[in-house]
Amino acid sequence: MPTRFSAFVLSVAYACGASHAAEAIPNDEFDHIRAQIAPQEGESRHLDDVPWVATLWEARQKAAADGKPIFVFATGYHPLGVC
Amino acid sequence: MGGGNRSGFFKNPENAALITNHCVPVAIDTYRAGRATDAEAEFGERVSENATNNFTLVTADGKVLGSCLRESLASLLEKWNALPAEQRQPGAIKVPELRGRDARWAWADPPAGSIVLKVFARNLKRDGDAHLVRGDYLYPKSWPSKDAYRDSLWITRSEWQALVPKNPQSGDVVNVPDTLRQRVFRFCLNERFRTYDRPWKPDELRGGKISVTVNEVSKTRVRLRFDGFASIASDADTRMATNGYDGSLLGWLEYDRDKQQFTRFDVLALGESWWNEPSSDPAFAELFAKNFGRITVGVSFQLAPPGSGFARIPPGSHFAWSKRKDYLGKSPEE
Repeated sequence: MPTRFSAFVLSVAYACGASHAAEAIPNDEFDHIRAQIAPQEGESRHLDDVPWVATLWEARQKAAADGKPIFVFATGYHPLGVC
Repeated sequence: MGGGNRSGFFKNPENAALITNHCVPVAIDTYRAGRATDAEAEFGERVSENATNNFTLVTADGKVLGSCLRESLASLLEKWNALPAEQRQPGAIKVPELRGRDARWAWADPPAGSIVLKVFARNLKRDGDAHLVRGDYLYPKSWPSKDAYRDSLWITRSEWQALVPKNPQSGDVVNVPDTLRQRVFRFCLNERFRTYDRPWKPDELRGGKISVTVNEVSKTRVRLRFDGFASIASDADTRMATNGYDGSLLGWLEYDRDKQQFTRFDVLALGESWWNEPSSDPAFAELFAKNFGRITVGVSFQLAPPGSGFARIPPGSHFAWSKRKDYLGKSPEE
């Protein structure tokens, strides 16, 4: 149940550093850090532009129905992971 | 020219445009294809040429036209166009329904009404001005990939609905559902750089909380702040823990009250990760020997457009999609 009191308690807990050793993320660095994490020029930025279908069988059926070839990106791990 | 690795291939917008405009694109996991026992896995092994990080162009009935490791995608599309018209026209090839998909390795859609977040992770470092910037690539030089780590995060309907109070007032605080907190901590703040993306075990979550505070309310919109911290360690005494993570979360969410949907879900996690557990995999043994110690890791989350390719790919953290119950926890949708 949301309360303003709980907001106050939480802020006091954070201010006291209760059970929280990690450094807080500064508000004014939020956009900068996000930009550093995102795929950069020279990395696979455009992989995210592709309208991947979920399964190979679905791709087969759609390719047959649309009269298109299938582009198969074979990865050794999570399809959009890292290797 | 051919690709060779995902960074080399997908840094080129022309390749993405050719795929989008002229092909049906699918990304498959050869780990699954090599283990599942069904017709889809057999087809996948064959058309991927049993190679990882391969990009092949194939016909719906399984003819491999070639690999972008050897030829350009444009030249492979020319091979497609050179096929007799009766092999290319819509409906020329009949693909039967797949029967008996191997349930142990089944792909799955998120529960109805879920939202999907894109997740990017990267090791960071401080530059000379103490600003956080991209860290050096940690992976072995033999690995072709130089990239941010990608994943996705499912948030079920009941979970995202719980983030917005029914009658929101500025200052209201909501604790995020425990199923979501555990999913974020275990599957998104896990080690990805020195082992195979192993999720944290539930009993490794030593402390942590995520709350959402109503920041602004208007007739049409609710703006919320997302705050949290996570303390994760393989031992209750974190000084003795071989593996762990200690970090903070911050984010900004926007909820459209008319459409009853989130229009913004931008969250960052920033923390230190350590991993001192040796790996039997030679690739990771090479990394382990370098003894990176604690590294700074940034993880960013943002909405994946509904229906986008990214939203269609299940979360990956150590094959989370094959352990659906573990991934979703005891959420009402399961």
